[in-house]
Amino acid sequence: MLHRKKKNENFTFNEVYESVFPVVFKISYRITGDRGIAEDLCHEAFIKYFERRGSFPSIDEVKFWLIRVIRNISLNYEKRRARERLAIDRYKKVAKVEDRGEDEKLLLKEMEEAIQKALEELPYNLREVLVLKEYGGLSYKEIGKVVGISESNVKVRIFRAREKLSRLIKEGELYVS
Amino acid sequence: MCPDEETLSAYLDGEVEEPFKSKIAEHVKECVKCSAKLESLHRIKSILLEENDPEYIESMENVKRRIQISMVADNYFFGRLNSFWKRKVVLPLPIAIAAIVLFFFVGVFLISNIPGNSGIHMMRIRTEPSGVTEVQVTAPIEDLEQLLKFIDNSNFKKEVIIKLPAQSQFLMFGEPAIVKEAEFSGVR
Repeated sequence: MLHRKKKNENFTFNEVYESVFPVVFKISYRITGDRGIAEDLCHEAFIKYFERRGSFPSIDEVKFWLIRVIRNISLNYEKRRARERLAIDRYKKVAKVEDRGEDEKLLLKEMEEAIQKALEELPYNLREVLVLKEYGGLSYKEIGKVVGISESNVKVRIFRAREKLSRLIKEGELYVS
Repeated sequence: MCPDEETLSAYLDGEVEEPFKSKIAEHVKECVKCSAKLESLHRIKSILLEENDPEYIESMENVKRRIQISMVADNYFFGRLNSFWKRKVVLPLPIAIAAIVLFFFVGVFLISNIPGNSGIHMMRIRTEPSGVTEVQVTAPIEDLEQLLKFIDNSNFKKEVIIKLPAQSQFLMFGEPAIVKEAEFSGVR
């Protein structure tokens, strides 16, 4: 079933999956920060594609469409989870202060986590453009199409995202040391 | 004059076109402030790109397996059924119009042939050489009541012979009663 070509397409579902999954997964993971959730959302996105097969002229078009889908469903998921997360994060901050310095071997891993966490702390409108740029490899024009904003707006948001991320990481470094 | 910081960020992404691109490149070489800003933006970009990619091979397999299961569950049976009903049939316009017209006339013909309430279905009129006109009417057994009403309305001025089908089955209905012959001969 996955290896069969659809009438109007000269590529199979499997070919699309093999070439597009890594980028779609990366985007979802960077937006949600959770591997299991990213898998769920990728599953949903590819099922959506399967139902719409036959309406894309090229794999690139499919990729672009899937990036748009994964961005939408990942952000929707994040927004739903935002309230719960706020409460959990408050608890974690208190717990971390107590544990500080006890497990220095995991410092590097913690730094990596801190970067991902800083990314997750960016507001949605800044996080999505930066993720689409750095992990989706999209141009400003393509990001504008996916998000539904102008190219100059993309430029401004990416700059602000970098500035804010820089501040958050600095705060994290101070906090870790 | 220094470019704005957003433009420097876009320059870093290769999103600034010529001739501005060359101008910024020249400017950054000389301007300490812009050079430092570009460096700081570059550092953030590198941090994100250097971060280890999430290990996706296992996830790729997991999701693929789940997709296959979903397909077998949802699409293999219902999808095929749905695709049959959603299948598009392309007809040339003249054939489509002809089909609609044919459908309309067949419908009209069938409706006009549905048994009405007249009770009289087949009527054959034959005039004998003696001048007597014989009218033969065939009516289904369900319309027998109406046929009787028709005869009643004609004030028994006609000679009526009712022929029952050769093979008839009669069932007992109601209480047996003695009925006067006069009622059949129309004398009241």
